[in-house]
Amino acid sequence: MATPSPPFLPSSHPCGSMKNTTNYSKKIFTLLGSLRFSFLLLLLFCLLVAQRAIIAQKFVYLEDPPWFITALNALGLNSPDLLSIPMYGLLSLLVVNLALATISMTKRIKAKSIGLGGIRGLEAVQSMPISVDFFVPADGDALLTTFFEKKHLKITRESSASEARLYGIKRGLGRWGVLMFHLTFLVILVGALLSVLTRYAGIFDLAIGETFVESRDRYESVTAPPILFSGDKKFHLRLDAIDLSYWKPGALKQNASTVSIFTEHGVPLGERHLAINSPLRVDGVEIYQGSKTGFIAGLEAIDAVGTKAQGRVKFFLPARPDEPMISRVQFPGTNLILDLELFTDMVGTIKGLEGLGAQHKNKVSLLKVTVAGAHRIFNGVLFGGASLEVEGVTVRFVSLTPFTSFFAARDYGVPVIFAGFALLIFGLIITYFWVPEQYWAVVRQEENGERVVIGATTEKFKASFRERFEAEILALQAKGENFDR
Amino acid sequence: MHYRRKVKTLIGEFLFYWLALAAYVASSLGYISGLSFNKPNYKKNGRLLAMGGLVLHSIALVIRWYQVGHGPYISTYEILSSTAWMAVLLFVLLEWRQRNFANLGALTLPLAFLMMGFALLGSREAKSLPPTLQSAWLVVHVVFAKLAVAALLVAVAMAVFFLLKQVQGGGDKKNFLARLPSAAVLDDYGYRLVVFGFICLTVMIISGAIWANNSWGQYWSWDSAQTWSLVVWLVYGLLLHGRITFHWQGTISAWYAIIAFFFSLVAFFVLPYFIKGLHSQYMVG
Repeated sequence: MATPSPPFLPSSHPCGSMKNTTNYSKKIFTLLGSLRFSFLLLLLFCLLVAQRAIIAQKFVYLEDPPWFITALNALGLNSPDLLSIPMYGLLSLLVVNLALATISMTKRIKAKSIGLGGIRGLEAVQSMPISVDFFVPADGDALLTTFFEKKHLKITRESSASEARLYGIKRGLGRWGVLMFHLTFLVILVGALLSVLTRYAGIFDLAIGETFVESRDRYESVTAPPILFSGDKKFHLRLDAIDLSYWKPGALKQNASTVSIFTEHGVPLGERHLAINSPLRVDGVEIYQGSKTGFIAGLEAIDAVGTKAQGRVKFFLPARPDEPMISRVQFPGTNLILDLELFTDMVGTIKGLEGLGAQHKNKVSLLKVTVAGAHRIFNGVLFGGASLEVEGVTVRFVSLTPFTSFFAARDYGVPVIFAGFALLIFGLIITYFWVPEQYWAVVRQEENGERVVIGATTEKFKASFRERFEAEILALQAKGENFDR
Repeated sequence: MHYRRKVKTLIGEFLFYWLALAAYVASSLGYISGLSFNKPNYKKNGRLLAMGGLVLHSIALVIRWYQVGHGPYISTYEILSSTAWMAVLLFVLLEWRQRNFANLGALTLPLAFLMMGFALLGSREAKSLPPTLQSAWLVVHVVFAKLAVAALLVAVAMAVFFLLKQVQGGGDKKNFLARLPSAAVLDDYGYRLVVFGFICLTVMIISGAIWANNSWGQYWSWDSAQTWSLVVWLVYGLLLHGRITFHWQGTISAWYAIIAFFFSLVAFFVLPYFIKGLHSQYMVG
């Protein structure tokens, strides 16, 4: 008698629509957590990053770009803004995919462990894709035990009067590598999110003897305030010395500084050395040695009615010794633009450049002053402490001090990101080079000797595993012929 | 006196470089003729010459290291020379583990000596190490970059032989392809090498990010070289993902490995010639 089919439930029926909804949500969850979906997301992410790479290399600014760049630009691939929305959308989907895939992966790994863990019967082992069946005169059990032990397998055994079953596994933990590898992406993305929420960075310059107080208004330029933890740290950092070294003239070896650190209330925390690639951490803020070093000239301008304006003019030490130290200044409230070139014996006060300074006590500094404009006029030289009249404005050279630049950054995402990086490498190694191997063996007493059946499986690199397995079995068979305990 | 010593060292380095190059050429001939005429002795000679070339090449690199005061990281000459060294070293190690991979020398060694030939087109002038490059992370970054290129190069050799075997069969004993491991094993080892290269690529990118954070206070700045390396990582990541998701094995995997390698060569070695970035200033020239 045919079983009556379940009555059809229309979608309008409450139970029917619930069933459909459950099915749809299950399907959506399955799709969002599927490997195919993560492949698609990765592919799209790859394309977006490639587009970003094209933009990053500033091909678009080339005067005479190669043809393929012209073609890419014509497609509108030269705008970084174009990327932000799809990139963030994609990353959000990736997070969902990773989270759902992690759940399904955990279930799958557990199910697989249970499924493969049990010792199988002779027929089941025989039907495995990698298996072998042969006879030995005697001592098959001992032969297999030795074989498994030599392979460093964790052995489980079941024996009866006529049959012995062995199961061996090694690198069982390797099953969890894929899961760990996927989880690391979540850790990295959490770190990146923390970076977005807490990061700020700024640049500041210090002349020798000057002190920087960590607060947003003291940076020469600073990024927008972070969403979280935006308060100032207010520690003090004083520049004590600049220390440069060169491989040869024009080839910088190291740019370093000696600084003193104080708490917000002025309590000294000690003297520290700072160099490129050797940053300093103060109260959660990393201070990096900048690459710019030179002089800050203090200038004062007084116009005909006696109004004073003061300015700081920066001169960078040139990359090559034969290049001049030049700068341009415009005094506020005046139209006067001056091109200045600095000549100074004070170069010798910077460690590493002692040889370039004069040996006498009184250091000589002067500025060559030129009025910038359509008709450049050389106006003369301005010695330290002296003044010069330029276009009705008196310009005085007040001070000159060596300075160096610093970069400060506060980012609470960095340790999380780096932990994610370490886990990523670890996960990859576990996934691909700690591959589980499982062996099943059955020894059965038969009329013409002992029948040995061995089956094996692995999750990756199956062809080379099979090749190795066959070679090992050949050796085992040869040993079995003459096996004597 | 000092000048004369320097000139002697310079000649020494260049002499060993040329001797290594010659040894690699001879080794290539050994492997190719061994494979073509099925002469195990030729292959044995090829192996000995590859090992001898590797020793000479190592001496050249050590002298250069001593002479310029830093590892072979800067300029086309140093980068290509050390990459070729790494590729030959990897091949020799692989052959030592699996003797039936000896025939891959017919492809790996010629590629290595061609790389050394291209290296000679770059400037051999010694460059001093700027402060940003004075970091232990540079060594990790460069070593893993070379390991990645070397592994992916040998994976290409596996892929080429796999495809040839697929096209021409290999059942005929006279055919040199018959003397290679089975197609499935070639595919499997190609996969292993891609995985190894991918892990090295990961370490290279991560060490670069840590180093960038140490030098510039930013682990990721979307610099062109950084971004292209992420693209290359994703391209290989897709291959590994495709093997699991879509069971990409055999032909598709082999073609993918070849195309991905040439894509990464363009990203790492050709693009720096067109763009000015953090890497190009040291890699080009």
